[in-house]
Amino acid sequence: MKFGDTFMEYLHGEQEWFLHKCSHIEYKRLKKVLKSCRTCKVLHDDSYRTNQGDEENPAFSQICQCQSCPLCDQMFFSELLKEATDIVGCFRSRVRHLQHLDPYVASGIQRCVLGLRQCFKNDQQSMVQEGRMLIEYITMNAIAIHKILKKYDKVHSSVNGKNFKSKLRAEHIELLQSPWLMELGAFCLNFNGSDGEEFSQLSGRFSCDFNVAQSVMTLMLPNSIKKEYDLTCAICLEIVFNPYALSCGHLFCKSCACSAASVLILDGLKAAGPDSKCPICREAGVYAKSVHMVELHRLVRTRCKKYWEERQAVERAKALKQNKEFWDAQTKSMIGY
Amino acid sequence: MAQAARLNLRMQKELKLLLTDPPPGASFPFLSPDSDLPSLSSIDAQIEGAEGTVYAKGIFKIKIQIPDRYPFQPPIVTFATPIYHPNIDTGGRICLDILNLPPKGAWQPSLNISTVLTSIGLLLSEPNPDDGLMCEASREYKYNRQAFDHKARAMTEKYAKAGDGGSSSSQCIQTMPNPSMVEVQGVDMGSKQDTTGSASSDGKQSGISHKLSFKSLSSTKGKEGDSKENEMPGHRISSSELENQMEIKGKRKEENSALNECNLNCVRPHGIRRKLSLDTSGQFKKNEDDNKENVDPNCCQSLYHSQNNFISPFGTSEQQVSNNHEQLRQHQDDKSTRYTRSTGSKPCQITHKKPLRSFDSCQISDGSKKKLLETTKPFSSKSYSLTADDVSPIPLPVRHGEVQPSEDFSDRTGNTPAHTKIDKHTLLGKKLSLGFKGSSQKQDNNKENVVPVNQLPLSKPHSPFRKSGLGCKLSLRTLSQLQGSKEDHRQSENFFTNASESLPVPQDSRYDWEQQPNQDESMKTEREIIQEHGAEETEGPPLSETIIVLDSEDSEEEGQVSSRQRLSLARKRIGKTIAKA
Repeated sequence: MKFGDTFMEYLHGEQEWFLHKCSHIEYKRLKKVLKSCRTCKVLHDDSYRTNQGDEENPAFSQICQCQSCPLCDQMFFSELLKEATDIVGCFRSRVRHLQHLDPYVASGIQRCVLGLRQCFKNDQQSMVQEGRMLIEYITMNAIAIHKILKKYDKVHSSVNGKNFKSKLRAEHIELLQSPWLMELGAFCLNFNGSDGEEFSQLSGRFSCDFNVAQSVMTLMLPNSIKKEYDLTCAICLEIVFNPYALSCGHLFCKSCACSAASVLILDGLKAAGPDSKCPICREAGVYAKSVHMVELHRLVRTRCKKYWEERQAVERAKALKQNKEFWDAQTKSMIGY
Repeated sequence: MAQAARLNLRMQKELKLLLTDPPPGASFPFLSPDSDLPSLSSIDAQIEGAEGTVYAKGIFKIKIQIPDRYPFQPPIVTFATPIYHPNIDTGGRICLDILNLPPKGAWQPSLNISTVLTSIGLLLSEPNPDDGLMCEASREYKYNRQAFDHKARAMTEKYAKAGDGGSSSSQCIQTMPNPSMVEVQGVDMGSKQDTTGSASSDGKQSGISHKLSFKSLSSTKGKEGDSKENEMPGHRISSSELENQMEIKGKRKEENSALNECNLNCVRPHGIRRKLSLDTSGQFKKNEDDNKENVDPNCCQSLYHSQNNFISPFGTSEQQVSNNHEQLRQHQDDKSTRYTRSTGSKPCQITHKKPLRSFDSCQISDGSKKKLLETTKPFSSKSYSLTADDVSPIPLPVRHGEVQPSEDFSDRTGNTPAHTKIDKHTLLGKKLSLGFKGSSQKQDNNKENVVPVNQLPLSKPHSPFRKSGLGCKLSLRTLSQLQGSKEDHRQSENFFTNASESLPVPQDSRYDWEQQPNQDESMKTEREIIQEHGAEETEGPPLSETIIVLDSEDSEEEGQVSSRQRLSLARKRIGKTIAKA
């Protein structure tokens, strides 16, 4: 089956109600654009051939060359970009919502409220449902983008598609790189772990492996494409603890990231200056929009209990010590000695 | 505590990683997977020069020190094996952006030792001459690849062979600054002994030998070839011995003169070295050489002092001179600053080396008196030995070009009798600089340098009077070099007074010298020449000074020459004043 059909099926399938609220890739329309471009190109080729034959109307071919492709380029890419941005935004808000609904992650009053709510209606079912839909949603769109760009490159025999992909990555709207997807994956895995077999179909796409050498979370995409997420902090070289994802998508332990940005652990990453850079990609200003990966944290906690506890103690001591030192220094400077 | 624990954890992981998956070309002979707690604060690594590069077959030892805040602070990585590389200085420091913290560098906590070693390996195969730490090397790398390759190969061959202990030499390098100090002390000792008068020649000898040996040490530390270095001290010592013998033979006056000469020699080396280094600096001003910096500044300072001293006592009569001096000094300052900045240790080492060789030949050929001269000789001969050497093929032609104009200039000036002295000086300076030119000019050098041995006695009569002054000065001052130079100046002055007039025509004088077998140091030759032509009149100081200034402006070498001239000028001045008195 062609992907276009699959996509259409997905769009008009059982989750239509859900998709109405979200934007998605206009696969068909984009494809049409490409088609027109292709015909234009054929036309252009024809004119080129005729040109060679009898040297007639060179102006026509000129026009065709100038107008068609740049025009469709502009339309094509701008539309795609917009859609991708929308999808990511939608996805983010959804997952955040989901995250807040998770009773294990929520704190304090929120948890009480949630607990109360659960008495009246079984939230869990709907949450799982939503989680599954979100995964479906993001993967379908990601594939759509991938396919359409591939098609574009094929039609134009260019590398613009690839370039666009890297551009998406640079702007952190590549769907499959979103930290929220990892969060969603952790969410699913958490449910899987906590509720046994019941939701196994939900986490089917996700799996994680915390072994000594390397800890990865794997996402299986429909076409047996595997997407792996490294859960190792590049700074301490261990499994991320209390992980934060910078807006460039890189994961770090909170304490490591704080040290790298030279802020107090208690102040948190948001306190980092705008010019502090990601320790991996050196992009500046990625700390302000960092994402606290609560679900992932919980996942680590459930999967590697021992490590988590050890680390928890160490981190507490570290934060405390750092804070103490800081305030000591403050008082010293205040007193002036 | 917690931090340390975490650091340990990370380091252990990294070490494991290093051992299981070492970066290309790197190995860790002192790390073993069995050791439960390997030294986490410092790691010794070895990196192999990549095949097909100039460092091929070399094994370079690298010291990696892990700071306390390690992942957030870059490791301190230095080469323990000397290496000739545009981005690695003689102290082994590496100019690599990931080894510095972000404002300046690009260290990121996500980097690790493995990546650092990988990039060092890449740096070895792909030097970055545009951001060179060693200016000389980077220039060579850019513009004279063959010379660079040759030197780099030689260094690799010498230090980075498998099983070679490079670390010790590097340590020597690091201790470089001390030797110069020691040298000075040694000189002091020698001078003091002289002053005490009762000091036996042996004592003197020991002092001098100390000094000389120290120098040689310093030179050896400069990563010189072992054999050559070893030769050096011996020669120097022998020279000193010869001097001592001479002294013993001669009258006290002679002794004094010899001592003075010794002092001169002591001073000389600095000056000459300085000059040479200046030359080199002219070529590679931006090079930063620790060794040189450490050693040279002292020399420079001492020179300055000496100059100042000269100026101050005799300042009244020649304010113009002082002015000129001032200019010169400024000149020198520029140069010295540059030169402190400069440069590959190699050039200076080379300078050290070569003199010795020339020395040998001189010693063999010369008699006792000549030996005295010989001590000075090496310096003059240095230059040409340098040229003869393959070490710096490029610089030679350049120098050649630079030097020659000055020569012409001096010759022209030489026609006027009043300028003769200056001319001589310039000539002498030229001689030194000319040495670089080549074999043909070597002959010239010889001629020029050749000092009428007979004239030495002439100087003797003056020496005793000097002697007393010398003694006091020497004993008083810590900077023996300065004093020594002063003394020398005095001597020269005396000579000058005798031979207040310089040669009428410089070329004639040259011919005279030609006949003499000896090569002598420029200063001495000056003096002696002056003595020879004692009857001739002194030249107008202002004229000469202006000329000197011109010379100094001509080129850097000229500038060096000018410094030379300054000294000699000062001497003359002093001599005149004394004569007047």
